[in-house]
Amino acid sequence: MSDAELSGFLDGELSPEEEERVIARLALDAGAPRELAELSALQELVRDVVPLPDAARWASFDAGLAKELDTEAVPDAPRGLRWWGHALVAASVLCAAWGLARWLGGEPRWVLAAPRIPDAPRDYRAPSWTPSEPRPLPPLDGLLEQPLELEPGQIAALGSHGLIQLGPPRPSLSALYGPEATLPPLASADTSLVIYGAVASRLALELEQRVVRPEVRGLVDLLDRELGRLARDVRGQTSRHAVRAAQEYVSVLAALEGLPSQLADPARRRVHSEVALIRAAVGPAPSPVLSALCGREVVLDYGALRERGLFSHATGLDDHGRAMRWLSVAGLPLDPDDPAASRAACMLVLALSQGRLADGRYGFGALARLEAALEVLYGRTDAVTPFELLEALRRVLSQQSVTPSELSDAVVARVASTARALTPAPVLGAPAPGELEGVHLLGRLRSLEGQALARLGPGRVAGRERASALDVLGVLADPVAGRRLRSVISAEGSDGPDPEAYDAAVAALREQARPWWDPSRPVPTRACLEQGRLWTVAALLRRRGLAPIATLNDPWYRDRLALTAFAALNATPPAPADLGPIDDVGPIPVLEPLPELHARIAFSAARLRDVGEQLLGWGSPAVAALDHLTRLEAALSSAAQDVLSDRPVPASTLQALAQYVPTVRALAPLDVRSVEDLGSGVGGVLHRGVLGVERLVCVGVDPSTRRLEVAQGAALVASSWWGEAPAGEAPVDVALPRWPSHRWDEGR
Amino acid sequence: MDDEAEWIQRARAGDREAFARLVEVHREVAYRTAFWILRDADDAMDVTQEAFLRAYRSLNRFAERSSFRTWLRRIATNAALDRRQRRLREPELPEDLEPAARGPSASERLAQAETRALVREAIDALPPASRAAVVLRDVHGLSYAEIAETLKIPKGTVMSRIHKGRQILRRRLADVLGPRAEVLQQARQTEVGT
Repeated sequence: MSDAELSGFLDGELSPEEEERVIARLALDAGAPRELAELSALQELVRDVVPLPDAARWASFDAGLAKELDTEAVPDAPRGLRWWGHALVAASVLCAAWGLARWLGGEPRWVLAAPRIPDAPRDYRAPSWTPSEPRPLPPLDGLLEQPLELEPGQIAALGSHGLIQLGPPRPSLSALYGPEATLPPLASADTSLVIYGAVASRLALELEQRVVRPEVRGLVDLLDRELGRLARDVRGQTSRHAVRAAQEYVSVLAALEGLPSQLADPARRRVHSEVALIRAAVGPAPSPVLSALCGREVVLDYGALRERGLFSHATGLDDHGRAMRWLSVAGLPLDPDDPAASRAACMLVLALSQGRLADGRYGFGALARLEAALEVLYGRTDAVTPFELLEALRRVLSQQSVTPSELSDAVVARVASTARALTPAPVLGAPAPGELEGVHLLGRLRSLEGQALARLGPGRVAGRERASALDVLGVLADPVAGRRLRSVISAEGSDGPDPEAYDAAVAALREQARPWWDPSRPVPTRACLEQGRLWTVAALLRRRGLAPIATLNDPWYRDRLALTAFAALNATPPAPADLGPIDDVGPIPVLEPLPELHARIAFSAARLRDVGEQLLGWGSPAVAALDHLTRLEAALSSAAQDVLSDRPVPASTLQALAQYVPTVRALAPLDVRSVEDLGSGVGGVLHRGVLGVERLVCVGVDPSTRRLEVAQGAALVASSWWGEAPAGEAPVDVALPRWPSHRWDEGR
Repeated sequence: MDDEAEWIQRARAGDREAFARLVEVHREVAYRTAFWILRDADDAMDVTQEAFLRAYRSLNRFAERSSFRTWLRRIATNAALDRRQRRLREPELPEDLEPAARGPSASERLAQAETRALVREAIDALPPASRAAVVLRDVHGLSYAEIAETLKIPKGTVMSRIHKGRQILRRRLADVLGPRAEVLQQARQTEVGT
């Protein structure tokens, strides 16, 4: 019998055979009972280190607890596994980051900003305006020099919808705004959408430059250091291989971000080859790094890693854009049958959990801040991220801290399957086989647009190199808009011919997107710029209860709005520069009387301005631009309400409207020399907007009387078929704008 | 423990009586856990209550991969650490010398406090591996299996670490233990004799 068995005997932890041995020894060995007595006395002493409450105290405790429980509801219902793990870990890390930031004197802007952003668009329900009594509008001194006699129904519609559509014949309004025109500038809905899109892009660009990129660089530096340390400390061949693989994965990022890394040949050569393939955007090819990592050939579509969206607009962000694409496209596979990549992913998570940034913040704290920023920009990810993987490690190992030596094949396989179970379901339903199978440091498909694009990507639509935002619109809008887009893509698009597979892919995707149109389902526009703009388009097109404009069943008008909104997505954001007060004044514009549209844009701009202020501070040019836009759109909305209500426009509103021209010049995405350029330029984004206004009644304000006036030339001959829903499809003979690029289209 | 699984199931549905059974069985281990960290009876009591409230709220998230007691200990540990963090800036009365409404006299309490301080000091001086095993067994009252699960070591190793720790404590606390062991042994012999 060993001495240890005496302790076990005392504790009642021995098997029957062991107990028998101890009892025999106690009978035969004179010293054994004494030893047992001492152990027993010792146990009592140690137990007494914690003095237990007496019975009265416990009774009081029970009563107190019962009272507290009276105020509690039934235990929280179990939440779905999709988010809670992520949210729990993220929340704790955010709290830690927040506390740390406070401790270090930093400003936890992300943490404060993210919860302030509404999860779903507010149901903006502006009142409708009806003129006090139906009356004929004054005769026009316009192009046709004939009076515009609106019928009572038309006037009522003008009041409630702020929009009247008139029948043919219709000379092009753009002709009125030719180089020689002396007409006042037109504040069209299209212009507002385009400007809003450009300014929102400006905010996104600034966030990327000032927040996302520095955080990514800090994390790469941390990972390089920590993985280097792990490589020195870790034991076992499989663990060493995993650390080296993680180092290579991170070194690709380091190379793209221009940071040093600790790799030696041949790993360094593989990283160089990988970076060369990424920069060349060569299309599908075996990935040197991922193939070495997985021990089998892994093919990546390097075309998907091409810098896109705002990265392509901004000088110096091209390689950073590629790094972000590497993070979001080239995930580490979580295959339970192939633990090598999963183990490498675990090593990344261990490095993140153990390391600190140069400024002292913890790796996961920085990652949480970055995640919050990316949520603002692109919405939530639906891929496995290090948060899920960390949670999976903790669940599988049932402990807070994890060491590399614990990552056996069995453990890694369980971690991989647990992490995948924690992954949120994609917005558009079940992914195709093989999708969402890897861990991505920064998540993967964040926006609805991004998901749609992924499903419309190579392999789904034969003959098309890549999908564009126009494809997404074809899916998200409606069949009429889809057909329109098809003709646009076919004639003007950069993506080649329009194969039959395109229609099939769009139809399939539309089916997947159907839940998105469920009015009871909150649309996850939480701070996602692209998605927010998509939602605006969607609201314009389909959700009429929320739409600012009654579209009167006219698919042509829906097309026009959709195309304009996507022109905003495609617009190059204005160059980031200090934007001071706009003191100039210009002519008072005439405007489409669309108070609800302008109110919605003002609301959205104000929301982004507030978020931007939290994240970037008031010195941010984007925040200043959003502030200008908010005031301008509020003035346009107010003026539209006034003119439709036949009220004089207040002097303050007129003053704001007088800043329309200089504000548009300052915020416009293109080099607009004058607002009149909007109508005369060729290929300019705003020009397109004006092209689309040819069938609208535009109402202006006479500055001298402050009364409503119908804009010259904007109103055409009334039609007898007013009020009838147009039959058939949208006209196909309307000249559509050319699209120089579709670069603002790819979701991350 | 089948009964316990049933209590948990019923408590999840809002059955307060079932939850009261869980409290009755596990309140001591929660209290011990909290006291070991906080070294203050009132704080430990508060934290024990807090731990049960947290456990009740989170009952549906208890995945039953570990025992309820292990899970509760984790909650109590976290709650106690939170409390200790908050308490750092507050002045603290010496342990066990606070005024008491009833119980042992001041001199008796002083003697108890001295003994506890001595024992605690001896425990703190143990090698880390043995210390963890002894504390989990004798202070927190965990079984060998629970200790093995907590420390991620085999059950046999638990037994040897506990024994090693106790042997060291026996030597260090010989002066205190001697008389007590005498009493215990005599009591045992009497028991056997009868």
